[in-house]
Amino acid sequence: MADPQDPFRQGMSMAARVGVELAVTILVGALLGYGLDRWFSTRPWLMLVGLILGTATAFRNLYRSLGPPPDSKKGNDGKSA
Amino acid sequence: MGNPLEHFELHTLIPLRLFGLDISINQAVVMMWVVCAAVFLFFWAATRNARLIPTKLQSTAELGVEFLRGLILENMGEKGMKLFPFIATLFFFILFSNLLGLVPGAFTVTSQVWVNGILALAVFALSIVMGLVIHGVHYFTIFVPPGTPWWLLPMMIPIEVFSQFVRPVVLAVRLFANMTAGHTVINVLLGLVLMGGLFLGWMPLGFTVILGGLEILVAFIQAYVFTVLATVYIGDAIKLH
Repeated sequence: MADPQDPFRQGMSMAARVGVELAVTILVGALLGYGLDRWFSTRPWLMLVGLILGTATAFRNLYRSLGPPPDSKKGNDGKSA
Repeated sequence: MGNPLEHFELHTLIPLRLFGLDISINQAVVMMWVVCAAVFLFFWAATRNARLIPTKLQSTAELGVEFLRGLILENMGEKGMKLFPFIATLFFFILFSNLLGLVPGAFTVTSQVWVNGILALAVFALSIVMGLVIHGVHYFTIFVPPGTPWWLLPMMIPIEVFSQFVRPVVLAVRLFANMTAGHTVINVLLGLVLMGGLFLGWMPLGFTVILGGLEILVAFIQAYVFTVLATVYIGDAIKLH
């Protein structure tokens, strides 16, 4: 167990993360929306909002987890951490 | 052939109540004690008579500690070294829980959602506390990614807030799902072995062996991923980007 930047290890860690993250984020968004729905009795709209929020967050996290582009200088180029 | 999920059920061994809260001793609690004892014994044995040229056990412990130290320094910077005991506990507890759960008859502590939930909650709480302590109220600018045009902010901020809150949930569920799914598949295959009898039983048995090996790999990977993400999330709060 050495260098955390080792590409094999990064690949493994990404494989172990991305699938579950995508699914769970969307699910949690929908569940949160559903829960709020039951509290405020506004079915089904809040669940849809939650679903959309969850999906948007899922893909945004996916994009962020790719890391900075190969030869960019550190700084503001739109790809925040 | 029995319910493959049956071995995840918890049976109370010694019922205990404390002010109305149920803190009975069940298999999960006993297993957690076993894991703690195992980690303690591992490090005690590794550092007893520590020599400059290490023995194999000491080498393994040193590898683990070196790796964690590199991870913390890279993701959390110098300030992060204060959290080294926490990260090390996290890593070794999860690793040993995952591995010891593979022993036949043992209970996998990390296959309980709430165990993972508490660990993830600790990481989440720490990230908020460290962020607020180091940066004060300025910490809330973490919700605004640099370089966002102002007209996108009303959409970006709810997404960022939600993203921050969902991350510990995903952390917990990832570990839970991996451990539970792995063990369930092995259970199902073992059921197939019993149904296949002598003629066909050797095929699923072979698969079970292969899956057992895969489960050991998954145990390491999941412990590694949990720890890496914990350092990244806390590092995000410390470095504020």
